[in-house]
Amino acid sequence: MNIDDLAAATTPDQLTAALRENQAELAVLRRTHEGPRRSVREATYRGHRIRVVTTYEISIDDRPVTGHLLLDNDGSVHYHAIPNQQFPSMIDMVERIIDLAWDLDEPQPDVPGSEHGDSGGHHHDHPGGD
Amino acid sequence: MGTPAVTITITREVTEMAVVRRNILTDAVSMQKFSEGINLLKKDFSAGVTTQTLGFGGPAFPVSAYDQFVIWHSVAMSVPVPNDDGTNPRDRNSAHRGSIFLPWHRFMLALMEGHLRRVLNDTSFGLPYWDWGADGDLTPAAQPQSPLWKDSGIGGNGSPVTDGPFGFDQSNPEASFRVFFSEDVVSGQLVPLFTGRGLFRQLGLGLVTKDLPTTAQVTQVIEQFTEYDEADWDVASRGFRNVVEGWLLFGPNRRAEMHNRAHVWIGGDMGPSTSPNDPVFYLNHCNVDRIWEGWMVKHGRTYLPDNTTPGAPAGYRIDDPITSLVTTVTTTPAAMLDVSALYSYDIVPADDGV
Repeated sequence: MNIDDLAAATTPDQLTAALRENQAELAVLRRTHEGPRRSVREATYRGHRIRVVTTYEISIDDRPVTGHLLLDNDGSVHYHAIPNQQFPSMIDMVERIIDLAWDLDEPQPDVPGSEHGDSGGHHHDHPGGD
Repeated sequence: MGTPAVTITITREVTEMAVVRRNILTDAVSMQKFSEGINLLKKDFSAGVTTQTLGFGGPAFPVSAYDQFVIWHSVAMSVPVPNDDGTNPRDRNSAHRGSIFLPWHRFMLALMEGHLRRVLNDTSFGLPYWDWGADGDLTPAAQPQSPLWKDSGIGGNGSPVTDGPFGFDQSNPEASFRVFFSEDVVSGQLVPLFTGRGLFRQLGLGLVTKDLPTTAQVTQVIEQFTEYDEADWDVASRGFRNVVEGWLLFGPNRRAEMHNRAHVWIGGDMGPSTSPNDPVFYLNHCNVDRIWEGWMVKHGRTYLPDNTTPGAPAGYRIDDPITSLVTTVTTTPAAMLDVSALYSYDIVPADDGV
């Protein structure tokens, strides 16, 4: 790739064409996480297969924590929504969620058509209106 | 009568020159152009993409070219890269937690750089980098006071940030830099914020991560780790990629964490998968890319796994395609090893001419 190739790849038309080509990947945006979090750990020791299934029910002020999480075989926790950290314990993870949750002290976000709420009473300005 | 005029037209195909990426703290033009370009791209709706194009319910709201990169990054984190038997014990994804991390982000940054050149109408623009190792050499208390975080830089701390080119002005939100897509870390879902909000940062305020990696750590990583990556090509691998991504800890206090540490130290919007919401994402990754370039200068333009490596996951091998949500053009890790036709760095770390 050279500079001219890059210019051809970075046009407004390319932005729309890429979304048309990759609609299947966008399905993750509509995926909802519900119920307790489940982690499966597997290992082999002296020829024996080990499988540990762990289920967690986590909440903050009664609001369920439903993001995808994973326990490594050393017991540390990876939480998908905080991708740059590995936590030594679940409590450490939840403390960090509280650090980063932008809406814990605010009303739920205004998401038309989603289960988070309707648009009643909120002002919808236009992102493109600047 | 005079001599008849003769017009000679010489046509030739013009190929633009590769650009130079510079340190944002020592190059005022890079600082100014970066801020201007990001704000232009944030208001670039020329592609006609809306929230409905992305599959969100409700009324259709325009999505800027800048925010399409935020969504791409977030979605890429949700695409798993499993083993042949379907297992994925350490949660590799299509952009992180594995070998693909460096070429994937090199591709992302090149595409962002191309769009910035487009909206700036400046073919000489090169994405600048933030040399966080230099700031990491300061005392922890001095690090958030770096010129980068000043009003004349990219603004400082806050929920929201209120100064600098990406500051939020409560009295004029529509003219302000705003976040429109954010990962809700409680539910783990990407949420469109139709009214937008200001940017969040918590510089050095995390309970654990109070300082940045240092220059000495960067040099040590480049010199000590001679292999690009190793099996199982994930967060437990030994190798340069995993230590610069930040999962493989090293050094006396085992707290370098490199790229990850920069994310965590900044905090706020740099925490979730929507971290490209904060423009400093690009400055951080440009520095990571520069460190990778320094490693390749020293150890050669090599990448692992190759196409025949046993157990190498499909999606991470050297000739596997890297796709995106911002262009139909694809690349491969192999194509990302030598990008001298696109850009070079003013200075690469640990370049001792070897």
